[in-house]
Amino acid sequence: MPAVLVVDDDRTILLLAQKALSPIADVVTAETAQAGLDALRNGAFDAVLLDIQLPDRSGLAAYCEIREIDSKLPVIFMTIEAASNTAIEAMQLGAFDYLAKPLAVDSLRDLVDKAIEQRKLTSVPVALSADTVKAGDSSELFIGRSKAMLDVFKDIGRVSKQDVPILIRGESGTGKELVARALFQYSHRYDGPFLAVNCAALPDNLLESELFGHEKGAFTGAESRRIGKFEQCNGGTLFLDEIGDMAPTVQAKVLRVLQDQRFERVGGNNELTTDVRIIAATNRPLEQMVEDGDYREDLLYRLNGVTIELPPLRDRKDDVKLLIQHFLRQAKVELKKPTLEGLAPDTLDLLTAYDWPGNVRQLRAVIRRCVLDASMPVIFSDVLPKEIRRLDPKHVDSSAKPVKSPETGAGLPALVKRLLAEKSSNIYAESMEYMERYVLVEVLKATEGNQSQAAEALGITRGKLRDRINSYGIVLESGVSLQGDV
Amino acid sequence: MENKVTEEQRTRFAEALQRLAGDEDLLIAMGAMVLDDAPVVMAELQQQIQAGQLSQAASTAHKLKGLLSTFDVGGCVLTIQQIITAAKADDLAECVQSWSKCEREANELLAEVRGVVDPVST
Repeated sequence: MPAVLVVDDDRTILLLAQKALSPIADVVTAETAQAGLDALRNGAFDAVLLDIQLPDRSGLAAYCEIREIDSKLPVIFMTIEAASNTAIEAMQLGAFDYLAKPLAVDSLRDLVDKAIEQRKLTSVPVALSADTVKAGDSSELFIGRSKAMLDVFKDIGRVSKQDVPILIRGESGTGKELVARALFQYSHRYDGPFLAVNCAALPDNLLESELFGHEKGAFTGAESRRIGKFEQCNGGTLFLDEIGDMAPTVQAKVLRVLQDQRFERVGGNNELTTDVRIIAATNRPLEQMVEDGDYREDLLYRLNGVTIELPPLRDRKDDVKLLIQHFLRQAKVELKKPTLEGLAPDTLDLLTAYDWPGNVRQLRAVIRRCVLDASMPVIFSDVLPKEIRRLDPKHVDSSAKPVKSPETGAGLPALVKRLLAEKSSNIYAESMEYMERYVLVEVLKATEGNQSQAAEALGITRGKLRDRINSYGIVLESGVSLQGDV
Repeated sequence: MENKVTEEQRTRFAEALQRLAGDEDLLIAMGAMVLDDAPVVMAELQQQIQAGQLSQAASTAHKLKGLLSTFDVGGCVLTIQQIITAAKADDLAECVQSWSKCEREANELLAEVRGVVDPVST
């Protein structure tokens, strides 16, 4: 479990943090800066919550000492004054974020969760390997022996030290984030910050504020100045995931940063400069989006000066056995199954024959699930998810009931139940897809097929809506319907 | 811990409970700590204001503000902010005036918190 250090002289804050964070981390508390620094020197932590005012020194002074001990440790300041200049100054010096007191359990947990993820992104080494020899160390392995993956490794080696923007392309689950981390870790900027923003996870206005910051009063709810990621990440590397899901206004501002490293905070007039290397990733067809007028051509060309293309797992079947071997070894240790010997031959055959639409992420989840479910030293095919067992003629199941069309929306409980029964390793994705189809069809029906209105109501870009319409086969002529069934 | 919070208290401290994800036991436990710690910090603040030690008073008021804000972000917390601002501006008269208001409001809030923590005593 990750470990979090909370430094505050207010006992109520320490109690709240213990309660709020215990589901996600081991919490160690300290009431003075000195006690916190001592704890840091003697233990391994993944994030720090630091009060801005401590009895023995200021939070900023304590922060500087923390940076000396561990320059990559995410530090979240806590302050009773949201507009505190010290908090803003700390952000500019590279603090992860700050929280206004009184603290709220949910937002505290969410932010610390992000910080722990950030810690992993920055600090867990990514090793590129054509075998699994290194599986025992603390690195995350990026494995592949196929030509396509060896080309990816070569690309990473070739461009990591060049200070140019890089676009990583590939299907979901292929490891785009690992490539970004490897590029950062092998770059000259390794001593600087590495921050990640998922552009699809935030509404357009919040994304703009997240990236560029905002001035006090810039919009309703902007109660104080906020430092954006471009400013916070000065001297470092910014990973923009899902770069295709960005509104035109944000695209224009990102383009400007790429061109001359200049920007303004939202609602601000002062031009700021930054020195940030951008690594972007997407699984969207950006060229098609440019043709459709949904993506800026100049931004695409700025981004894809260097492109690293990650192949889907189905196109590098030679690597599947290698990956299985690695994930098995990893799961055996992590899930404490020392008696596990391996896979039965027919299990291995089915796993290598499967197409893996969820790519490496899905393969890893399946192996972990198999290891968890296995009661014998050898894993037999009956513990495999049904979608994989279907490839085996002796496992054909005629009892599987079709799920109702998502046009009704009523089939979700049955779908989840079925996927659970099938021990699917893709329940989240399949359920979200079902739900997304239903929502899209309903909203498009309500707007009589008007995509602009639908996109506005949904809170997504027109490009994203069009992309989903195409991928789900939603037909807009004479009413809105779905092609075929689920 | 046995749940002792009344409907009236739930309404009074609705914002606090929302921040604590509805955890009434946590509210009570934090309240007990505030009842122990706040009077000590208040006495310290009063002494510093009386002695004209405004730099220390600003720091102590900041601590009191953090302590009480779990239960109320208006009322006495706003008055404490006035003390912080005045102390930073080296305005002793304003500090003294705000302190008398703050003391009354803080004691009222602490009485309400005591009602949640220890209903028998109130």
